[in-house]
Amino acid sequence: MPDRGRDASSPSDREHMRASATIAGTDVDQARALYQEAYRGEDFRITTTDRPFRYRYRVSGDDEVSVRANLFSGAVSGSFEHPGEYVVTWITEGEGSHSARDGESVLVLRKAKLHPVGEPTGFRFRDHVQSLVHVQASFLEAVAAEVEGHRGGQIAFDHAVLPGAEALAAWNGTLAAAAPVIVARDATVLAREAAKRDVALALLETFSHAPTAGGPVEPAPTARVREAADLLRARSGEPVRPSDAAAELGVPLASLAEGFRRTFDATPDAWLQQARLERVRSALTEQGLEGEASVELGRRWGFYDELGFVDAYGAAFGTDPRRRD
Amino acid sequence: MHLPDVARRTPPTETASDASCPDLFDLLDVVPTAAVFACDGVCDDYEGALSLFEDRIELGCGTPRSIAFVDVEAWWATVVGAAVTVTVLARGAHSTTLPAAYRAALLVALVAQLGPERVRA
Repeated sequence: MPDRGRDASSPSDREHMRASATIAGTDVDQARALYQEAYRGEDFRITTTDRPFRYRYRVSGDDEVSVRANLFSGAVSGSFEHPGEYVVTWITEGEGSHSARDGESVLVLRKAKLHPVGEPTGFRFRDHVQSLVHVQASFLEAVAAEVEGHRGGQIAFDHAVLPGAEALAAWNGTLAAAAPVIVARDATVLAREAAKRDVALALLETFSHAPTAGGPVEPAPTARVREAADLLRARSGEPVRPSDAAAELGVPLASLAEGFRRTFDATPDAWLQQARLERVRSALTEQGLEGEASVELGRRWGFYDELGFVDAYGAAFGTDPRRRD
Repeated sequence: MHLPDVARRTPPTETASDASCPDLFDLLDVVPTAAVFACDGVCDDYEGALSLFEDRIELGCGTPRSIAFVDVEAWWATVVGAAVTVTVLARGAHSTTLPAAYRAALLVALVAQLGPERVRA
């Protein structure tokens, strides 16, 4: 068992149960049982098509964000629910549709959509290859609380509004950078945390949803905001989150975020990112690192994307972290 | 000091170019897997499962029809500590959203990681 200590790559309470699994087979009855349980579904009906029946379901990630792919040679219909999760999905082969309160929507090849949330959803798929990104509801709602002032409960996504090409390109861009980190065995916990958060942010940016009801958020008192800022800075080497600071100080996350906005003109996570960048800069200077070594150090501190790291470092300090002048 | 309004680690404008969503099998199929496990349902033979798991051969529950490849990282043990129970699994969304064979595979993996005496079903 490796002993990695409590530094930027340490395990801690923030580590979530991670696993990669593939479930596959050619038996119709077993497929029905497996999928029905996986999707908390009812009345799954599976019939064969002109292709030999087979299925393969692959998942990797943790309980907060997981990336999945599903191959199904056959026709399947029924209904399911995703309590406690927001699920983005698209198909790359075959055909499929969902039906919920607002009617039936046919999936368009390679165009992501959000599963209906909080209601039983009918579905019909045939000979399809499907990709899915599952995001735990409490995780997404905490990010929404921080960046949008969301104050709990289900986020009111508008399923009638489909993301445009630009929004989908941005979603794909984030996924292309973040998903490999989420599924990687050797990613540091800070990198994984950042990648998961970026997926949550991308989901919020991609899929239209109503602003939080209830009027302006009351900001946390400045003293509390400064306490939280100190806490985040002191624990920046750990996978601490703004929600941890809010919980420790007994302040609603949305209020804390509003307080940060007024005090620092930034989100708590931006403050945390800045603290980590300062730790990176110190280490780069002390160790005289440059080039790929500095990029690797950035990854250990959660800056898993090289361009994103260089941009953030440059914005903070006006220099390229890869160069020692 | 410049702080972005909303911090991101990757700039979408730099990496986004295509509105056509990818097939995630292309990503997932390159993730290495550590063990092979097969089960027709929930496995209750943890001792037997452990030895078979360690040998990385298919676990015989009749004719294997469903195969799960399970990869469990070493730090699980440090995370969950000595007082592990199966309820640890039940707290994760995985345990409620994935099929029984997967949950069984996770349990087997946990047993393999911690030793059967530290896991109470």
